[in-house]
Amino acid sequence: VNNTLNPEALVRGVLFEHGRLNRDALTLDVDADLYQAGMNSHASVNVMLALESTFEVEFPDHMLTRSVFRSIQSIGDAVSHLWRTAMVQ
Amino acid sequence: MSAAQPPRRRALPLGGIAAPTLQPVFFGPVGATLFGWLHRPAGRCCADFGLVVCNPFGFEEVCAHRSLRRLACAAAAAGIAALRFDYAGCGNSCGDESDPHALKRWIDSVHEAIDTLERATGLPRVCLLGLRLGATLAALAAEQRSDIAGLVAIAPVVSGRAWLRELRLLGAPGAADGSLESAGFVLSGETCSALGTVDLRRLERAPAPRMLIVERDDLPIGDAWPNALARLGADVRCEHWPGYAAMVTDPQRAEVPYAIVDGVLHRLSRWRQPPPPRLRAALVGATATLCNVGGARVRESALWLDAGGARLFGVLTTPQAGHAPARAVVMLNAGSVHHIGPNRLWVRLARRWAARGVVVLRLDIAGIGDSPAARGGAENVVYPSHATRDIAAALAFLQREVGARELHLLGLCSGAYHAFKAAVAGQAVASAVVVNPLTFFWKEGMKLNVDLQDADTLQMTARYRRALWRSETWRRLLRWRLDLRTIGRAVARRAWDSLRHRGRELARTLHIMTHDDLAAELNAAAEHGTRIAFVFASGDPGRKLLELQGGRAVRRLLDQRRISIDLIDGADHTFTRAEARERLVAVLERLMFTPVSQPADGPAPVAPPLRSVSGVRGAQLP
Repeated sequence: VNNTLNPEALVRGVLFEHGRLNRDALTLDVDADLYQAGMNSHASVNVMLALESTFEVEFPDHMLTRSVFRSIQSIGDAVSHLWRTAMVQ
Repeated sequence: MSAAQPPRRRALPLGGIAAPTLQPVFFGPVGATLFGWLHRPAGRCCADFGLVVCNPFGFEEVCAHRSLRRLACAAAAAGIAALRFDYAGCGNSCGDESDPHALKRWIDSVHEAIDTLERATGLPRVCLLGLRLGATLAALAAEQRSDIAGLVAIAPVVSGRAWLRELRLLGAPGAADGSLESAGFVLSGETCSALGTVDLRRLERAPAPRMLIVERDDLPIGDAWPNALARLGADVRCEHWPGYAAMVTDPQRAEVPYAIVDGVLHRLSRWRQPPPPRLRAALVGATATLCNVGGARVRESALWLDAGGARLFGVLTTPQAGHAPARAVVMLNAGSVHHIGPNRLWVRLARRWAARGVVVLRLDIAGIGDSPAARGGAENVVYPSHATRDIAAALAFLQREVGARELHLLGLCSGAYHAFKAAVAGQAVASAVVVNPLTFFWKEGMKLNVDLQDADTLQMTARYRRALWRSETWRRLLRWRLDLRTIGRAVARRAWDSLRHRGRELARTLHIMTHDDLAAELNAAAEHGTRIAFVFASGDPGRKLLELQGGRAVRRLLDQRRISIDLIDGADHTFTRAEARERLVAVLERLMFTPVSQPADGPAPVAPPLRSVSGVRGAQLP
């Protein structure tokens, strides 16, 4: 992963491309509810797949929940957690 | 492999395809019958193969149903006989998708479909076309056969494990038995285990000598599978035609992917050879079958009804034997979902109720599901003006042909609206069960998402009210990060609606007639002797709409037991979660199997008392 890139910007980029939001993903509040911002279930799956591809991680089954993909903040927290876990291993 | 430009759009001969080229068929082993549609060319077959269409699974199938019907129609119009079908436990086929060993039964279903199409046409080979999991099942079945001329895989599921992960994100938390509930459908733990081992990159032989892979237009699927197929000696062509994402978004807004339909037909035309000179086609399948429901057997028949210029498709479920049934129910489309009902609920209910002696007709109104649009009418319109006419045709059929004496309607969402309007119009129904309507007044020319504003406003203001109690809301307000303009618009509209409804109530008191008066419509239904049984998911806006627009008439009719209201907690609009759906079933069965007294000149039918069951409650009106 190119660590020089800002993870939040990468998440916003994925949401911009795959989230089908009715608001601008690039300026959306980090705590804003993505589902209320127009992300439907189908789009959330695409966001998950695109995030995995972008960050080269795999969300474990217990993280495949709506709450993980609810906001930019929660997605960022989940990706950070996966990176930390990967580094420890 | 190549990635050519999408083929130029050609005029497809789709609009003129009428129902007679379609033949609904039940086929396969007795007791585990499959349902399908045989699309025969109007003239002689002009290819040496038929086309078997393999559905995706679950909600994707519901969304793509119309597109795959169009594709099969287009193939038949181009001289290629096609069969699309429901896997065991899916759609109209016998069984349940949550039955164990579903993967094996689905692959067996593909084999049955191939054999059936070959018998029906006399052709020695088939091409398979699969969408998503359908492509996977097609490839797994084809690997075991030598009569596959080609395979078209649209957005194929290459890894079963990856697909299950997608379903998990859409679904409920995992169950202890390993089963998976996702988007309204349930897979057993054993089926999930079997699917988890599927990996098309590890096939030992090419499924077909020629393959077309149509990639997703929203995400790349990678080139690992095409490369593996090429190593196995298949002639593989990959295309990036648009249309997949719009096809599976949701049933109401799903768009037929004409670029894909065109491209696939063009490719099939390149693969085909002239058919053998003397084909020995055979009659296959039946128009009716028997299904096991618990210890009972019920009969299911596919039928067409005439409704004033439109041909309507329906599936009639009847008790296997016995005298003429007294009671019959028409189940209506929920939005654009075809006659299987939301999350296949209508299929399950129809079979359960038929086992208890009730006849059920699952109807597609014109332009929805498998009923073609009326001449000059549009397809996939969920609030068409002709719905009441279509319902009248179904009720007349049940009275005249089946001998039913007591008729009921059941609908959810737009189906609830049509059931209600049919009762208001004076259709001879003992009850209309109205589940989660989103509006009580729809005018031609309105648009979904724009003209359901009453419901939207109620939902938005309810959400804002809840948000008032969260500290995060106030923090965001202080940081000026709330969309105050949208909030202001919703609150102002809510205030205006409230004022409007008070004005209407005043007009009623003064006996001034107004347009679109829900109280007058409720009274009309009651005067016709029809009980209206409202069922609402407690978070859905329908109940509030009823209270606001119906005014004092709602309480009066409730007191007189001419209407009833049941609320179901913890459910979404379409009762996606199985647990909530079971509570809905309990309510519907109470409504259906509580006797309705309806003396010819006596008082209006009596609704059953409102009861409280776990998670289900009678309405408390203010």
